[in-house]
Amino acid sequence: MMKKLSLILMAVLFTCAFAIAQKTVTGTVADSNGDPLIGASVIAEGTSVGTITDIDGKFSLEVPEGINAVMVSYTGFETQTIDITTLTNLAVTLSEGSLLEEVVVVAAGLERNKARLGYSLQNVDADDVLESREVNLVDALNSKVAGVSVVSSSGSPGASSTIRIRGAKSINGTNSPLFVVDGVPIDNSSVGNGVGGVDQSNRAIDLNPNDIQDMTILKGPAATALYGVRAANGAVIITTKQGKSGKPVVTLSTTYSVDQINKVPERQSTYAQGRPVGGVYTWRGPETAEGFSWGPLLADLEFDGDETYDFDTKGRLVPKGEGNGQAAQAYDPYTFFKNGNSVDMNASVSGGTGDLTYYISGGRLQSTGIVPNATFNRNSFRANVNTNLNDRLSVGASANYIQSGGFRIQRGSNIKGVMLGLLRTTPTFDNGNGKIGQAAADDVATYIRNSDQGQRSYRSGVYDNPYWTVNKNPSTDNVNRIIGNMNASYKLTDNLNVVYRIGVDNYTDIRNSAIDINPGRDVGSVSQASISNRDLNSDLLLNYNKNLTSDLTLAATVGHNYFDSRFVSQGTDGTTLAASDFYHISNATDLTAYENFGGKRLHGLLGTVDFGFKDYLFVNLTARNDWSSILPKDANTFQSYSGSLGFVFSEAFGINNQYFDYGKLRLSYGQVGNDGGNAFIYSTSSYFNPASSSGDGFIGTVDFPAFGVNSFERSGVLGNPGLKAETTTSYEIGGELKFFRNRLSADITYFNATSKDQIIALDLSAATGFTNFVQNAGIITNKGWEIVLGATPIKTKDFSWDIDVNYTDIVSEVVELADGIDDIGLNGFTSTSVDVIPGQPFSVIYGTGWQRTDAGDIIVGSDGWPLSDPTKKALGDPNPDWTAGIKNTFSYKGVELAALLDIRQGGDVWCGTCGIINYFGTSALSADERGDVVTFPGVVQTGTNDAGDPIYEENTTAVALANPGDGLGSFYRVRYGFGGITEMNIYDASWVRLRQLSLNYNVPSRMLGNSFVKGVKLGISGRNLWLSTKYPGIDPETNLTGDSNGYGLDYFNMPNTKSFVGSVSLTF
Amino acid sequence: MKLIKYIFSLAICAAMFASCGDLSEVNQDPGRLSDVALNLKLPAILADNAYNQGANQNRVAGMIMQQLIGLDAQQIQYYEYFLSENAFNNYWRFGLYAGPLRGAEVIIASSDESTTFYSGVAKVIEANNLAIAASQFGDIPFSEAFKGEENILQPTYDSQESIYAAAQSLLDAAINDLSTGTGYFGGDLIYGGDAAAWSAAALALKARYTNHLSKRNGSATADAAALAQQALDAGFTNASFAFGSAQTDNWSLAKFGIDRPSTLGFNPMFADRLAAKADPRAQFYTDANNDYFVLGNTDLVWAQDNASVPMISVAELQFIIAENAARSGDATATTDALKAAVATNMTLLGCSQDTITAYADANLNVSGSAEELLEAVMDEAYVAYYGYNFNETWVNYRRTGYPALTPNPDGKRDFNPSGIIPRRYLYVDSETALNGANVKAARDNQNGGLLDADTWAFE
Repeated sequence: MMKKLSLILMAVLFTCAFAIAQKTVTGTVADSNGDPLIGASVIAEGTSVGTITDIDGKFSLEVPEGINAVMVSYTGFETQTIDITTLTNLAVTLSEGSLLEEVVVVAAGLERNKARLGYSLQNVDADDVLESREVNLVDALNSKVAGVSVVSSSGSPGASSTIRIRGAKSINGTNSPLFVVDGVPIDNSSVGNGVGGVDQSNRAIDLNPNDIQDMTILKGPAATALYGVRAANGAVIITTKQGKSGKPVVTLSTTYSVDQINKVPERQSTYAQGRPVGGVYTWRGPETAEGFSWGPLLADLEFDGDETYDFDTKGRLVPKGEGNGQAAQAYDPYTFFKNGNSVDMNASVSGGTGDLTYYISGGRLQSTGIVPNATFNRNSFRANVNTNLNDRLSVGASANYIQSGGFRIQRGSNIKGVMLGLLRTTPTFDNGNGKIGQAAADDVATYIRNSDQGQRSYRSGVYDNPYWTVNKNPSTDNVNRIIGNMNASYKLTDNLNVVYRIGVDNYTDIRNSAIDINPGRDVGSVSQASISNRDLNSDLLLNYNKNLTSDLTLAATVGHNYFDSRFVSQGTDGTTLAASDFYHISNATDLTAYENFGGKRLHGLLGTVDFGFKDYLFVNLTARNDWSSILPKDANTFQSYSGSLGFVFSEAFGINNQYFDYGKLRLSYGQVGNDGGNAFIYSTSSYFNPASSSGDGFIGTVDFPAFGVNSFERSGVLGNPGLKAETTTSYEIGGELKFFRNRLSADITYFNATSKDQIIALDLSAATGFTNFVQNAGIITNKGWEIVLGATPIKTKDFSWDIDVNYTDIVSEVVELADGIDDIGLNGFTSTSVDVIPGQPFSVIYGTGWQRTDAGDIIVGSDGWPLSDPTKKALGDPNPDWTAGIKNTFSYKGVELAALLDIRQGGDVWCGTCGIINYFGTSALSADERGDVVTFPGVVQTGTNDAGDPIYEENTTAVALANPGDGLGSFYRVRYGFGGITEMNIYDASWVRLRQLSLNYNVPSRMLGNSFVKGVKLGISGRNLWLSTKYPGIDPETNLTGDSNGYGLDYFNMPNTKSFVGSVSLTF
Repeated sequence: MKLIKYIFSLAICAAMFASCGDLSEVNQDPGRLSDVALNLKLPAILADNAYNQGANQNRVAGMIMQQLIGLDAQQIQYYEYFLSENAFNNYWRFGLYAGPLRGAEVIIASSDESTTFYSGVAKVIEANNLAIAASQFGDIPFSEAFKGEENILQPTYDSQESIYAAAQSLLDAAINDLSTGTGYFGGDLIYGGDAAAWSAAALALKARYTNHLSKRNGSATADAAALAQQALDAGFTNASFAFGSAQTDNWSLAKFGIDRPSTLGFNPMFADRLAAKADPRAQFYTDANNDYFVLGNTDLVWAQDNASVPMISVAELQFIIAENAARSGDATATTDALKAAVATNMTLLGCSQDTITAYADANLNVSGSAEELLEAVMDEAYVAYYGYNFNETWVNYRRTGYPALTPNPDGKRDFNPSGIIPRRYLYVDSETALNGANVKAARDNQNGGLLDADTWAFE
């Protein structure tokens, strides 16, 4: 089979070499009013040879010999096929279509007419994907689809992005939608995103956006029930480019972009490193290894001029008058960041001959980060080939090879983290030692002291100098991935065909990382890991289509789905390095090894039936039964089903006038069963794990084998042999309206989804002997509005203005968890975390707050300081009230200007970074308020009444926020502990941003003349150029724990970026 | 007809795939066992027990007792009594209940008459960890604990008094098991399978936890001294756990020095106390910069990766005997017992005989009232227990009021309204969230359970 295909492929490539005789067809295309249609498509029938009309509606097309017709099409108009056997000059008038013939791919790879669906879905086409200029395909969906939220976790090259469709519903399982490429589900997991370490990728990043023809977002159970368990969170259906019969079309494109940090916290440059000593602000230099910048005024200090001083070539700081007269200075640590850049080069050839079509592409992306040494690269090749072997049998194959990975940078809660080291750095220490950016990173003298080879940093190696960390703490990943499928379709009768499709997604991710020896601080460690995953998916579908009567159509499918997934993570961790600068496992003195598995298998039987009555009433019913290995043997089966109704009332009642073109109502109901997902593999029984001693929170563990023996301990997870499937039930009501000859359109959807019997690894009181119990529990609801608006306020011969708006408003509620369980942690720290709590939205920021009276007033101590509450509570809601994307597109002749505004209203983010830099005294806020004397609003308890209830009076005691006489521990920003309490650091993260601004120019074909170049497209664009937010940290589109279920935490996350992009695309 | 044939064959094929036998096989983890033998269970609880001695809850006891000092980050807030409900959450969950207590329960449940060695040792470890937790938290769950498999997911709290009683019963049961001590086949990282040595260690722990109740029971110290003597007579040797030199099996205080550099120091006030008596142990505890840990410095005995850490030491038994002598006002007996205890401790650290004698001559010829003698014993125990026995120092302080300490003037009052040296730890927030009603009842039973609210034993 493969051999035969490759022979055919060879033949195709040779065919390209031969020129074919042609004839020229010219003409004009206009609408029924006689106005020219600009950009209408004219294609030689059965080929990919085509052109578009210019601003006068004119075209000229070289039609290959033997082709006797051209197809003329324009969005919103009915396509015409025109015989050209005798004509060479055409005057085409297109009439506006009433029912848009837009074919979309829905569940199980079935193709359906969008107008006939009874549920909501949304498309993102190739141009929208490409123009976003995002490396990560997930980011290309940001702000473009109602009901879909995308959050990129940081500006690190290759960092993960989270995608949620209609909110999150699973506590421990994945909330990520299913990604399906050409009918085959692919893996979009990520491994290793936590509060520390590096930003890892989500695996959808491996897909090359240049290969994408179209993406369809299936939102609710009615749309996804056919996928069963795997699409419980919605689905992103991706169709890659396919060849069209005709001459080979070669496309070359290059994109170059420059990235810069877009927002960083404000720092102070007024005070030196140090702290009060004996009531006096005193300089305490790097050699003290102390971390505070609560020192004296820079204005009161000068250098002593000692050139032998390792930490600053100008010497130590001494009080004014005692040194060499050179004034003390503040350095800007943000000069660490440089311009990142990326080059994305793509080439493709597509076409077809006879019964065979092909699309072959290669892409290479090379990017460097805003942090010195950070990189991410992606090389990909794709070949899609389809052929009709005879009248009945057609086969196709697709192969996509990807190599991706890069050099990743330590970040987050991690004393090696770049932002941690950088933001805590005192203003009086120059991390770059006179240099900046990459130049500083490339000079060893920046981060290693001459005198004793110790680390040169503001705390002499307690926190790593960011320049040290980018050199000495390498972390690389190298993914090799093959995604391929073969499919065959056999026409049994005119009405019946059978389709078989088998696909495999196999990758290996080799990771190497190390922490170099940090003299006097760290003995060094090195890790190597191999993560591999193989997903095999097979679909057998039997499709039946028949017009039962002239008014009644039937389409039905039954099928079987098989899915098998094998995950293996193996690795060796070594500690205590022998030599510096040698990041190999052989350099480690002590080794521990591990091998972890995850295996899952699924069978599904599915069926769907569509009825259509005339052109206005459509009914779809689906059912699927799954058997999953994750569930116990006697309860491993569960069902998904849905029904939907589409009613085009404008057609039914014959309403179609110049004000109102089209109206449709949609109604659907569905239920999807779920086995809980990969998080619950092996959860039906309890196991023994390799033993480790832990429970400290500050230090590492003792891991067996150790002391010459091995040991195992019972897992903290109490297995449950009585697990059953969870279900999400949803209904959806929506409508589609078009007005003024399609100049105004609205698509409005309301949905209401309830997830129950969730499979949850409930946290248990450890006194049970277990820390978690896998159990069916809880009810979570998500309901919301999705509104998509389209308007074309201006459309003239030369100029058009289009507005696309999408609006999302989702409200979630954790209705109940298990009995007596008031809280489940999703992610974060012991002090501040993201949790789910009954009666609250899905996920709240949870931590330490102020003591409050029943009336809500803060309780202040008699000394004037507010009191923190010993019991943690829900303090913030990380979910936005609503989000909206507004895209304005202006087209003038061949020039198109588009701007995408992204608005997020509400939603809190915990700025852990802010708390820490306030604590250390490096933030602007800490300096600004240093002299302030404040009476905290709140009440003081003055006694108790007869009933024993406290009596409160308003606080009137003023306190100095920083009184050196009382010592550092009394300072407002220090007294509530490291980084303050949670409530001090929760901020509203509302924003308005210009997510995308692009200017594209299609060079008119007449300018290209008869050269061999058929099309030239030039573009410049900007990503994230403008951001308005009151959030004091970095860009609040960020998440510490990557694409995990907990979101809303910012703790020394890598900053986000803005980009300036230029691109050229040539078609031959 | 043709159509029906196709559908039929499709259905058969699908049904074959959907047979469910293969599915449950897929759900067996090939990388883990469902049970292991006792010799593979025992090492973990011994390591847990030793790891805890240098872990957060005991380092904080060291800070409360002003032997250590917080220099940075969380350690400063701990030193200032800003010890909220999350301070010991990790310990409670992973270092205690789902740690050595869980491990010991599993061993006890899977041993029988043929393997009494393992049940005996497990009971010793369980008793030790229960009693330490009771001394720090007061009432804790026990009688309803470890019953997750029986679906008791919210265990009630037992009184501190009953936990101490349960620890004594466990130790008695351990001594009974160890009297036969059968079935040893590996895994004992402390005594190498010597049941008699474990039996003596159980007696030693009985002495320690009997003495914890000296405020509650007038004869507690006398009883404890008798038990201590019994343990010594039974040949008790330091129940020492030898850590390794790898970063994965090294001693917790060394781990902390490496993982959290420069955040914790040797308390200058404690250094002054040592200097005042020219104590030869100072060089084994700290350096000139008041560091408790210096990477590569092999002089600091309790900061070594491969430290050998006694669960309970001979010196501690001798201090109990000295305390008993002191309480009876017998200066001579106190002096003798104190000299023996200090000499044992100094020898363990590596002090020379000359320095031991010189120190004893200069400082340990004690005299005065019973109260003065008691203070002298407690002051010496305070110095001797540094590094491996922080919790006993805190217990001694709460029992006797010695050594005399002044509360940290920077102490925060959020969780410690009266500003005194803390008397207990707060319950942890996972219990608040997951076992709320029971932990609330426990707080209510103990005057609210804030840091300055005494527990029953130390009232």
